[in-house]
Amino acid sequence: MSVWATAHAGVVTIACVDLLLGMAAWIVLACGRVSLATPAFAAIGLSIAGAALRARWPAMGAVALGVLGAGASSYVMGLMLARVDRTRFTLATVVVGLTVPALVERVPLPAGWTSARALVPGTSAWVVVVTVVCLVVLALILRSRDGAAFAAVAQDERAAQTLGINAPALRCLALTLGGALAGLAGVIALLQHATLGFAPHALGTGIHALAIAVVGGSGDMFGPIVGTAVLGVAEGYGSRFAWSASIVDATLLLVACVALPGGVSSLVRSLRGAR
Amino acid sequence: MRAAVAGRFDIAHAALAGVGVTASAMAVLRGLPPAEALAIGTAAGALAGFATDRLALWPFRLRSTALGENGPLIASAALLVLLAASLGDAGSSAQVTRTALLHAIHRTVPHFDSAWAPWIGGGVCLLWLIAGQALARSTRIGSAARALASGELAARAAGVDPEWAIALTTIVASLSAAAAGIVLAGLYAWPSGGVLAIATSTLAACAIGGVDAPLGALLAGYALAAAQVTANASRVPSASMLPLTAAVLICAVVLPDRVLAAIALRPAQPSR
Repeated sequence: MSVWATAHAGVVTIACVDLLLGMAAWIVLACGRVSLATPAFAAIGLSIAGAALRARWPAMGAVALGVLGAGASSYVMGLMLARVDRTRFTLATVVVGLTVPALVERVPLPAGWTSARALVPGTSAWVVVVTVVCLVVLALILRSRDGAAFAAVAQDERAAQTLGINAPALRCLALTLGGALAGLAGVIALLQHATLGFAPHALGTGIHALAIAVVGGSGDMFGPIVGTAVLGVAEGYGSRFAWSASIVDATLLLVACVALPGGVSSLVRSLRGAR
Repeated sequence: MRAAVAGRFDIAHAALAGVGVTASAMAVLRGLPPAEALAIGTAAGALAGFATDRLALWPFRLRSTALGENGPLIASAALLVLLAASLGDAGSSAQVTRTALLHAIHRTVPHFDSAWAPWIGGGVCLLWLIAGQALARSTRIGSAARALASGELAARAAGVDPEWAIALTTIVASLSAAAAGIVLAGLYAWPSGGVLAIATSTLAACAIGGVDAPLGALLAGYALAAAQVTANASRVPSASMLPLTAAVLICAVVLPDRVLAAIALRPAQPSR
């Protein structure tokens, strides 16, 4: 088992990063909005953690600072966009997702610093534990009153507001949670790949996260887990034919939107219901 | 105009500029005369616009899905990425279009100075806007489109076929996008980020001015362009990105109902 884990450490870490990015897009979608700002928050988390590591912070402190920084910036953005309509919200997140990575990822890593894996012993195991903890916390939030309110706002915002639910505040909370998760994904990407940045393929990363949420299924939080597996297999298969990951993600997203809007998990649910 | 009439915004619309430039460059490389190549580029943009409408918006007009109102936004964002990945930055196509267009102008006007090109581009854009305004105000298609934007039920009662009005508006709007791309590549400078750079500026202008308020989006576009030119003068890398982010976020707070909300084609439905 340990041999397998060592051999596949890279795959496990990439799957965890993808799952966190997908969860970040999904939590906002669960609140009835589409966010393509995921790469922006991942880039903010990555940049802050990188700056902290350059300032000789301990690795765990840098990770925490990166996640907090991404969460705080997404909270500010959530406050600013809380009252705009659905289309303007999405357009604003597209613009932020395309511009912010190019703005924040300009500081180079220190000379001779090729990988931070040495700073965090057993990186892959640590990444898996952190990802599972995030999923458990998210599940607890979704089981709370706020979680039920998310679904109410997504289904009928006007009716939810009539019941006393503060929709703008919930959207802000969803965006903050999503931003913190994306920031964590960015920090993990930095620790694993050292020089990975989101700026060159920012929109591709945003679509990848959204595809994980939609292809897997936006109905419940198992959707992104299924979506991570489906997209991982599809991208691996597509690479045999030299298709870029962006083309595979965008094609699957388009097909899922039109032909299977409930995602793969809805298909599994309907098959189980038919039995 | 297209979003106001169809009631759904197509995020991939800006990529049609890249389709127009690439198609016209391919036609030039096949030896067609520049005028025909430019016409083919514009027509290809219109066809691509119609195809994006059928793929990303039409299925959601037919039936409601689990994704609800978010469906068209997600599908059109996926199409934007597909088009951007297929076209690349379109820099070489833009160069071919520019060479062919300037060569054609030089043959017609032998003493033409290339420094005039941006002024000619500005003139073409102005004429195009006046033609668009005349089309919207003085023709049956324009009246049908505006009636549909005001209210679908009333438009149907007045004898307007919504699908025809949406299809015609889509074709006219896509022709405009492709022509804008050809003017940008031929008479100004094609941006280094290609289709995505154009999409970023366009979407920022729509987010500020209003997705269903053509005049507001136009004013916001000019203001953003001026801010980007000023930021570019600072020679700081990526500085032109800053005005877009700042303006979109600040305007969301200061102007939550868009610029010039009173003259928007579709009544405002803010979510509060």
